[in-house]
Amino acid sequence: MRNSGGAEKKRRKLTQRVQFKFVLAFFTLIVALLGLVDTYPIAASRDLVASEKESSLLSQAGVISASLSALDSLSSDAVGQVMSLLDIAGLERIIVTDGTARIVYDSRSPSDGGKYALLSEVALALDGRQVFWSRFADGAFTSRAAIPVYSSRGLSGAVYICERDESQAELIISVQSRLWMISLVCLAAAMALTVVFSRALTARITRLAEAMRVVRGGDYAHRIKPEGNDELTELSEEFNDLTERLETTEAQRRRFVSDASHELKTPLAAIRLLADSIIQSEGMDEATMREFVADIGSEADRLQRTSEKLLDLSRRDAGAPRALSRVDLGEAAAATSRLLTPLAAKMGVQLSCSAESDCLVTASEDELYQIVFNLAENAVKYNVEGGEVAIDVRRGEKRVLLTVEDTGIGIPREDLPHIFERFYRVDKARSREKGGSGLGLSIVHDAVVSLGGEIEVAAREGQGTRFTVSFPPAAEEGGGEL
Amino acid sequence: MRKSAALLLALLLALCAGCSVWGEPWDICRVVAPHYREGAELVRFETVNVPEGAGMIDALIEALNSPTEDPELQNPLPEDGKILDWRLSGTVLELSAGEGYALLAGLDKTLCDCCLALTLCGAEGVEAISVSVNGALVTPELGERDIVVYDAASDAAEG
Ligand SMILES: Nc1ncnc2c1ncn2[C@@H]1O[C@H](COP(=O)(O)OP(=O)(O)OP(=O)(O)O)[C@@H](O)[C@H]1O
Ligand SMILES: [Mg+2]
Repeated sequence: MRNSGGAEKKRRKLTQRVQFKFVLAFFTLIVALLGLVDTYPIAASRDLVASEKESSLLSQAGVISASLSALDSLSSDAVGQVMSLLDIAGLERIIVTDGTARIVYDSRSPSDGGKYALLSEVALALDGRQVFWSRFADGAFTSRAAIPVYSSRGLSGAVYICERDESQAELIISVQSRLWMISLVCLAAAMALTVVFSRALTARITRLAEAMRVVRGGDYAHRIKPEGNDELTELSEEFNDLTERLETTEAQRRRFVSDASHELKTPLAAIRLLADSIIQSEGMDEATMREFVADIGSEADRLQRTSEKLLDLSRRDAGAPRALSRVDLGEAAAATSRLLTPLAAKMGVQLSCSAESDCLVTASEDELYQIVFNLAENAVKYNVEGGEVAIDVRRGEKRVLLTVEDTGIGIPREDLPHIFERFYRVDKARSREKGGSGLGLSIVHDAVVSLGGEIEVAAREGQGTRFTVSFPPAAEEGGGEL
Repeated sequence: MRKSAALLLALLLALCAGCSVWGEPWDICRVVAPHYREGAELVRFETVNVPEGAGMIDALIEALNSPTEDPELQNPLPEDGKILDWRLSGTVLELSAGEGYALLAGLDKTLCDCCLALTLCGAEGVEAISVSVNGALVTPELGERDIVVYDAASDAAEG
């Protein structure tokens, strides 16, 4: 039945593991986040630079245009003169054209003078519009602007300026690369952390699964060492509780089986012995023979009682359905005391019963009789000559109380916690001599618990015992009885 | 179904072969419509196939006179300002245009002149063009070298 844990352990594909899914999810999340963090500021600063360039370039072009507006017509010489007066630095190129897009001034290649400038910016400016655009590529901001030139006679030409800015671009690029570096480091760190954490997590799950396998193999003593204080710890603790429960249940089951077989074997062995001695001793006198046969009878009785009680207990364990009704506990107590009067008289014990009326509880009649009978029988059986037994039924504040008190031999303190266990007897010899099997109180306990009641015992060795059972009262029945 | 597909393929192949036999590709200069000019170029080239040799200039002028199919492009020549005739004198291609050409002024005229020059210069023996209307010269000699198509200066530094 028991397999080695390793052989059963399933090998999972990497992609099927929780850890993989975990790491993948985190990776995607972090990459998306870092992507956003990396691109947004760069885009924003680029926009900022572009808008700054727009205003500076347009104002520079405006200055040139304003200076040229004094000229009636844009001739090469006149424009050259005006431009030499203006002190404009830092531009890549300045082109001034007349109304037909013919270049009258070119700061970069004066040889282009007289050529036609087929530039869209110039064309738009000649259309009377201000143009600006900026591009960030190849490690530089290239910005172009063009505006019309108006003279007293109307539109006379256009100014086109172009600027290449590498220092700003360099700054942005260096910031960008630094951001990427930082992101990469962050990503690596986050991934490492995720791997470590998820491994720790899955390792705990794996340990839990392994522990389950071990317990399934039959080792109920196996426990998981609880770590941390999270849901998995709770799970491990639950698992430990479960196995502990399993362990005690299993131990109880084993003891019960061995106790039960022992209990059944003892009377059988006695019967066997008695029968053998009858057969073997020839010429046995009739009186002895009768005595032996009577003993066989009483052993058989005990066997019957024990097996009946066992049957009762196992039926209760199996949760057999039973008919519940409103039963008067007082009546049950009175009937039981009548039943036990002959036994009490034989033992020289004074048995008294007092019961209030209307002590109704919801129970099956048989169970209630069993409870009262077993308690009262014990009180009579484990008593002393001239002792007393008092059965009392009362309605308490919220409960119905049954008290069975005696002045008998009592129960030693160290045995008190065990008396409700199956087959437990305080004094084996004495109990046996009284025909006890040690099942009575455990039947009582189970029955009380199944009826929603509680049982308590108070005892002192040599001074008597008191069992107190409390039941929830039966619910009022429709109120139509009065 | 399969037969028709094969037929179509054969037709396509024949067409392609025909094209390459028919002539060589040539760039016709067109003007970008005002709406699309921002941040783009002002003139753009459209490729057509023209026969080599004698019929080439005729074919080019025919192409220049016909409208373009590209919605972003325009033919700058006015309806009544199309090229009617041409004569090669030396390396200068003397074009005579319809009356509408003489009415052009400012940027519009520059665009027409430049488109003609950029398309025709480079054809066999042509280095410059001139345009006249009814014998009167409206555009004196204009060659490819007289035109700046884009601001190379700002990009030159990139290399
Ligand atoms: N009233 C009591 N006074 C003293 N000892 C008691 C009393 N009731 C129970 N005991 C002790 O508790 C043990 C368990 O009682 P229980 O009724 O379960 O078994 P039993 O009386 O021995 O057998 P059974 O009731 O099955 O015939 C008894 O053996 C006895 O030693
Ligand atoms: Mg008993």
